[in-house]
Amino acid sequence: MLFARPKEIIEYRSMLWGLILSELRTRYRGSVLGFLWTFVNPLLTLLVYTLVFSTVMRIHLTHYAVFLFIGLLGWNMFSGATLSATSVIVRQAPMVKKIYFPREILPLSVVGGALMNYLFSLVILIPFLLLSGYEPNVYWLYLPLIILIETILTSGFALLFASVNVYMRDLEHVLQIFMMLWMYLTPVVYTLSMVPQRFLPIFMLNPVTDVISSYQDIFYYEHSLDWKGFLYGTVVSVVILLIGWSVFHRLSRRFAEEV
Amino acid sequence: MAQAEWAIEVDHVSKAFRVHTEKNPTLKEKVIYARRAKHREFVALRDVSMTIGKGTTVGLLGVNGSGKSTLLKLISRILYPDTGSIHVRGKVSSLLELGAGFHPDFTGTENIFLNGSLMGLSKKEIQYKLDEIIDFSELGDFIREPIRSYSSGMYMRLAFSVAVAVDPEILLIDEILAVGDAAFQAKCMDRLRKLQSQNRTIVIVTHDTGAVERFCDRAVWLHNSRMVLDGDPSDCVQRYLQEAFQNASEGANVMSFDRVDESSTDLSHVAAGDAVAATSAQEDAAGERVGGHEVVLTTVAAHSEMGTDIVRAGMPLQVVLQATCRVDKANVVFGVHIETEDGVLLYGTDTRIDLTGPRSFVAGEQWQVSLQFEQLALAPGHYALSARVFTEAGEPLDIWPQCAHLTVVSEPREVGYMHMAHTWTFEPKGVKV
Repeated sequence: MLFARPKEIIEYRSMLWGLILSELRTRYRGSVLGFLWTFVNPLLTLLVYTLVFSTVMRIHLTHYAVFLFIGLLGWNMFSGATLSATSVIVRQAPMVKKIYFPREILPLSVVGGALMNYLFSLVILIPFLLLSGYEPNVYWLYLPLIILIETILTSGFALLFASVNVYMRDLEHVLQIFMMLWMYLTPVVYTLSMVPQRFLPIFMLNPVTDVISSYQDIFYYEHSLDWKGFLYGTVVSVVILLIGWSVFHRLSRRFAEEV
Repeated sequence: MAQAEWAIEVDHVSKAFRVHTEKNPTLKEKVIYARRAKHREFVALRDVSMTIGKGTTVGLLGVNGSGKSTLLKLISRILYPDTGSIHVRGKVSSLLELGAGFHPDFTGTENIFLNGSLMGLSKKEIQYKLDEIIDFSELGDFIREPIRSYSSGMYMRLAFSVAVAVDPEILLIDEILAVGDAAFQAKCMDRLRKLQSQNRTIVIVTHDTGAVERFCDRAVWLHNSRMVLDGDPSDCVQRYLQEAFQNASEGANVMSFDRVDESSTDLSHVAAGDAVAATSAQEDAAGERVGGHEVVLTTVAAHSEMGTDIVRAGMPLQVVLQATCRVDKANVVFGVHIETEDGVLLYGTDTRIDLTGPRSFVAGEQWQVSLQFEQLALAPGHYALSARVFTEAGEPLDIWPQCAHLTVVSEPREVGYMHMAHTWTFEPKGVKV
């Protein structure tokens, strides 16, 4: 059972890939900038956050924009994919009702799309780092590992929320608000050291913290991973994936009737 | 066909749907009504079992809402049974609904790749079959257009072309062939016959009972969520049509939500959805009942050895009119018209033409007037009867258009409207050197 599902998904990999591509292709269809939005969007977001947090909130951190950009890209992949995946079964109702395919493909394709998007955004992040005076270092080699853990974590939440949302549609609305709070419980716009001691445990329990910190470790602080934290993040991610997948599997039997 | 090697095994399967009284339950309601059933159950299939042998073509018959499509969806694993189990051996390709698995913004070609990948084909496999698929679909220049501009017939062409190209071991088809034009339908049937000859298994849902008789090895009649009959296509079709139309004419026409509580194959209470839809459509199309009603028709029915409103081609048919005279009336003529479903008059006769029957009637009298056809010369199909009472001068007394329906069935399925007694002869005339 444990291996039957992944095996079937591998059989349907061309469908997964097709959905990822169609997601990427249709996202900016009809807009003037088209695919360029993949790059323009994070830059504009960065601009807004930098303005607010360095001029209004007065966060003094050297190369604050770099710090922020690293965290934002990682966070956007997680939150964008999780939010979009939550409603994906309902959104794709016609397909769910009319054809058979392993239902996991739908949330996983959303995560795949977000992953592709993250990879594209590296095309701006790297020059951005270099222009800010950073130089490539050996710790960048950990990047694939961090991306892998983030993908596992995001897939877990995506599967969990996507299946629950079919039966309780409020989830997607609740989650939109909660995501905002979640971002501020993750060291994206400020460092962990800025967080008051009594709130720190919440940050430390949050598995996304470990992923985002790891990006910052290799890109911003230019040192190795905090292995203890990273191991915690990995274990939690895998556990969430297993929970998410088993809940999804159980709930997916009635998807075609409920959507 | 020996059932030694089965392709589909349906074992005591039941399936109920929850029908939510309100769509999109909110969190508040979820909390308030937690644990309390806020839905009703609708049983779509009840204890259905069948084994379909490899290489068999099975037609599923039944009025709308009888559970046919649910069964197909269960076989294709879109739905899961509540109880019982379903086993399928081999690659399944299903054509369940129009437009499933198509992206409206993509071109025809792009959708072939998308749809093919939904059926588990790799890009390479699709590339290999692309030309064959496009050729078969005959979509021409439209293949490069976004399919949002397609008509339903064009959708179907694309969907069918992909579905048969994946070379399925089991093909499930739900009705959709009906939207294709005649030439393409014929082409689809040819392709299906080719699949039949390759020992593929086909399960088809259709309301074209003629197609079931011609094309299927076996028919299964579902009614009211249960399997009523499983066997020879002709027997199934005839019994199905007989029951469906009988129910329609008895007005047992409401689709009952509470078939949950009904225990059976009791056919008298059931929705004959299709037949009813057809009937009401015909009534809309038909003219109004007119006349002075000095003589009024009470019932009109056609009887044969097969039952009411149904007859086998070339067999006797009796049309029986019941009439009541309200006042003394002379020079009364009774007539019957047989029309096609769309109102073309095929045959009409009356007692004046045939110089028969009494002409004068007395107030209060009731008469039964029967018209006997020794050999009904109609080809298989659906027809309507109109009964007419008028005076020799042409004054309408009771003109009742399309007051009864007639279904003509037959084993060899001739085409057209007429059933003409005939024989073929072959004579050798030597050899041309």
